[in-house]
Amino acid sequence: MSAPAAAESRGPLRRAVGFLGDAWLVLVLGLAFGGALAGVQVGLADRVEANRRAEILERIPALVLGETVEGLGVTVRGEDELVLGAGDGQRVLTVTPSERAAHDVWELAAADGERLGWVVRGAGAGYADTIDLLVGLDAAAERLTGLYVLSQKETPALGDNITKEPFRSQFRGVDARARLEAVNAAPAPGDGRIRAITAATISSRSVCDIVNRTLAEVRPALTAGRAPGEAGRETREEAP
Amino acid sequence: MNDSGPTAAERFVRGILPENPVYRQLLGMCPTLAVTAAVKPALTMVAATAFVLICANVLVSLIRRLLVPHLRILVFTLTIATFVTIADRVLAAYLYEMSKALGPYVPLIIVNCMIISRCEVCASKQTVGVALADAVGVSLGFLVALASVATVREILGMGTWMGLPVLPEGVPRLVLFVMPPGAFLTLGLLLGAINAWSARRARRRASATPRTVKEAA
Repeated sequence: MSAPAAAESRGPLRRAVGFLGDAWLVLVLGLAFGGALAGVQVGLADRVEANRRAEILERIPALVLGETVEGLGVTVRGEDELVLGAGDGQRVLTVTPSERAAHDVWELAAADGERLGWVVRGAGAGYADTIDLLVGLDAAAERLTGLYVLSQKETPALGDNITKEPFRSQFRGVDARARLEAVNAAPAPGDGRIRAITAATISSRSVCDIVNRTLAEVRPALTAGRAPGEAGRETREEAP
Repeated sequence: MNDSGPTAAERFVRGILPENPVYRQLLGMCPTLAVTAAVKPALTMVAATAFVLICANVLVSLIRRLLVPHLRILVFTLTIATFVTIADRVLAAYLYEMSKALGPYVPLIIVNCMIISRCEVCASKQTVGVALADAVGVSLGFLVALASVATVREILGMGTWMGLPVLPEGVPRLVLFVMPPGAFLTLGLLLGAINAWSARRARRRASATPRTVKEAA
């Protein structure tokens, strides 16, 4: 009798024991590797998060103020101060982190306290893995001022083009109250539609969905406390 | 299990040039083409790949007598994926900018055939010493390949090497070489050059052998 036929002829319990006998090494290695990875994660998570926080703080001025500060050096001073540029032309900004509707939010203000805008962190499923991004908003939270992808693992040379300026720049100036939609044809300027990256429609849609969902959750908290009507139309719908 | 096969020294030397993973076996093409626009990311990729290859080869060799034939590929993949994840986290913690620049190519080491082939061909059949020598030799071979492709691309495309200027200002930069087509062009030209050199060497050897035999007679 052949080996598979012999295995078939055995009872379910003996078959299970046979499978365990075959796979015990895989199970033991799985447990050991899982423990090792958990240890690495615990040991390095703080450091990775500190790196990410520094990256976020450095990106905040360009996300809110746009090209005007693009290329200017950003120095993080203390917990909440950003110094733009160097020498006589340097500008000091303050950043106040908070959490609104389970999202990390940073408020950017000038040295005299005038609010310049907001940056909101959002995340969601992409084509390959989670896409983690930052959305810049103006002081009234009515217009998008920028988009930056913090991390993604989309298809190289296709989906990962969501990190590139040609795709990201489409979000600048878009009405934050309107629902964004990724389309395959060239959209009319300012109609809230984003041209999807060729051969990476799912990645493009994912970014729009993450922005829609994040703003739907966070904008009410950002505009709360303002005079009626000042917050503008609340037309954004929850992404499906 | 039979531990016989090439010695550690043979494995080490073969991995560098005679069985170079890129130039001889055409393995590891994804990182060879994707991260060689400049030398620094290429060297970081080599370091990450070498770490994974050495750890995976040593571990697989240690457990080679416990491997069940039909589950061996699963064990190799599990082992490689674990070390790749560790390398990815360490890069994100200590070389954050480089980790961002390499993007998905570090996690993609998991599917680098070069590593799984060394586990299959050497580590699952030979002793730890031989597996270690094999991994180090192949890593050096991978270093030779990526460093050569990246050197050509960075110098021709940007006029720099490791970020340092090496071409005079007046020399035009061939930006094509730091773009994706430049990777294919460079790899093709280097492969052609190495094949031509090997063929010439083989012809010389072939023409020298009969004379030696005749002289000996």
